[in-house]
Amino acid sequence: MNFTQWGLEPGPLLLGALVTLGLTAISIALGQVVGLGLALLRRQQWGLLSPLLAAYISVIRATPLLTLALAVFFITPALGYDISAPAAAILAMTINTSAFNCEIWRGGFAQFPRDQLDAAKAGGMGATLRLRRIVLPQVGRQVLPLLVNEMTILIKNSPAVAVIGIVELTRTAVRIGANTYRPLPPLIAALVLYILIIWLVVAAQRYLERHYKARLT
Amino acid sequence: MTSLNSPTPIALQVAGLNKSFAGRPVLHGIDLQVAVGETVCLLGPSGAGKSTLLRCLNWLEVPDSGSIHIAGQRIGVNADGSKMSERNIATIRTQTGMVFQNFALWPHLTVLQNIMEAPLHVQRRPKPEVQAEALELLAKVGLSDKADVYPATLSGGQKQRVGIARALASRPQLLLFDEPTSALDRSA
Amino acid sequence: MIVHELVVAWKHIGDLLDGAALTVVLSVVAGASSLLLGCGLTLVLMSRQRRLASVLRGFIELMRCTPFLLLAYLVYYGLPSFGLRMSNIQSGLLALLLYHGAYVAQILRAGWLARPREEIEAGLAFGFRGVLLARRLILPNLWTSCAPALGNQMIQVVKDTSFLTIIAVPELTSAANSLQSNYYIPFAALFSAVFFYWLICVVIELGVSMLRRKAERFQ
Repeated sequence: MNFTQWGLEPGPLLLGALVTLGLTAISIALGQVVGLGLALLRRQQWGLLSPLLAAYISVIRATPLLTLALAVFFITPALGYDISAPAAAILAMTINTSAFNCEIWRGGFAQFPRDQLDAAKAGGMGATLRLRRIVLPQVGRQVLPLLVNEMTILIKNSPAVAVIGIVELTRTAVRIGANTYRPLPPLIAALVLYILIIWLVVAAQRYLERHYKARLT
Repeated sequence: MTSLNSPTPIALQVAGLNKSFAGRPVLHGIDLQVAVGETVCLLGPSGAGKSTLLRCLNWLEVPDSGSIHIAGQRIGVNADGSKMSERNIATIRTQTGMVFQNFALWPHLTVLQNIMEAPLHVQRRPKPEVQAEALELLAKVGLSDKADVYPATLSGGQKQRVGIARALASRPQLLLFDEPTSALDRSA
Repeated sequence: MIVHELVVAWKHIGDLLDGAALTVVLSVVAGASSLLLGCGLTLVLMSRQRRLASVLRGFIELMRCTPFLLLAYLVYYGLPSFGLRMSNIQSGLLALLLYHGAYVAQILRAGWLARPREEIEAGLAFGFRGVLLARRLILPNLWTSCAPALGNQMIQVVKDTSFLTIIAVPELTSAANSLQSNYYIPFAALFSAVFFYWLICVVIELGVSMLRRKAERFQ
């Protein structure tokens, strides 16, 4: 397969895809933990915490990922810490996606039927146990599609981190096109690779759903 | 009493109507004739096919076979047997008025606008004429004071009366009532 | 130190406001045109034009899988191959229009299918059809029932304008970035940008809740 004839450089493209995959995978994983944590914190009515968290989440959700990446990358050194571009990218993406995940979990909690909680309380279950065995498994199953949708959104927003110097898939494709004076082939190849990555995530979701379903019966 | 010399004009003629849903026959060889000025009631147990027959008459459901003529004009199928165009079906539908089980009033229009909507925008009759007639119909169903009100605030019985006025507004040859009282309580 | 940064930022607030203004203009133009395009796409999707509807469905699916910046590049660098040369702002607007038009069409289509069947049937029964049926009886309710989802989509439009920094469009993020690198004021510049984005989103959300309240009397 003569890739150069088609205007493609498969090596760099695959490397770019790996960079995208790696950075987003880490951010997605961290974002799940942080997002759920934020949602659980919001459930507690600890005085000033709730409104402050609400304000923080509302601001993060209104901020484009690109702007957030710039903010993280340039403000952190100003605070006295060195930060590499990949670390800044992961931090920005995690902050971004955790805010959306938090809202997804909150929506799920809000819809959770109160009587199940009351039944658990009446049965003498403590708060942590209730959460772990009753609330989270069911709400988790319900919000899984929404969480996965948010993952695909993060993958589609990930080219934003090119602005702080990360050579991810889109930037690689543009660079190849600039070198070969044929911009279209690498861009289309990048598109195919993004679709593949997104498809992988959705396939993983379907696997997880089948796994959950098996445990019900 | 029909005279022997002049035949009674026929508003609706149904012949050999058949309709099945997923292999299950619902209408089987239906023949029906309704003269102008005549009122016909379809009575039957739930699931007998009353609604299906009614909805076939204005082609909201497409029958499997048979013919339906409204005021002498066949609906749904052209003279040469081909499928009738949407435009022509719509034209024939202006000759019919329908009153729905769940009222089906348009929520974003006032009561008066609901009644005037079809005559104004489909039949394209002049607005003063349509408005005058609509107000007259509204008075006939006893809801003159609700002309500029939105349907959401009306009771079931009131909505149904608006539905009747709306159906009459396009001066139809044929009025179809699809279980018009099943959603109402006895007092309405 | 932050105070010092804010003072410097205030001196150059004009640049920031220029960027914000461009962001607003891009958002309004792209937002309005994508609403129009989405509406047109939905009308075709719900019509009887089977083949055209399938093609459009394919287009919408493609837009849902494509990263926005990649689409912007495809428009900016790809279209010249077909003889169409556009400026970076024009390419950005076209990309925004195509991308969000597809999403709007999806939202409107879902809302259309969710509407009670009877309202549409009543329209058909009285002789309404096609564009007249859609325009007078379906769309008015559709806009209000889909308002929250459409509002979210408009917020996405605003956020996606930030991607155009990378193709050198001098919008808000680009202006903030210039400011922070030229005058060493990362806090002030970027916090100001974040504040502006937040403000624009609040305005959009207020607009949506106003629309919802107006529609309350129809429920």
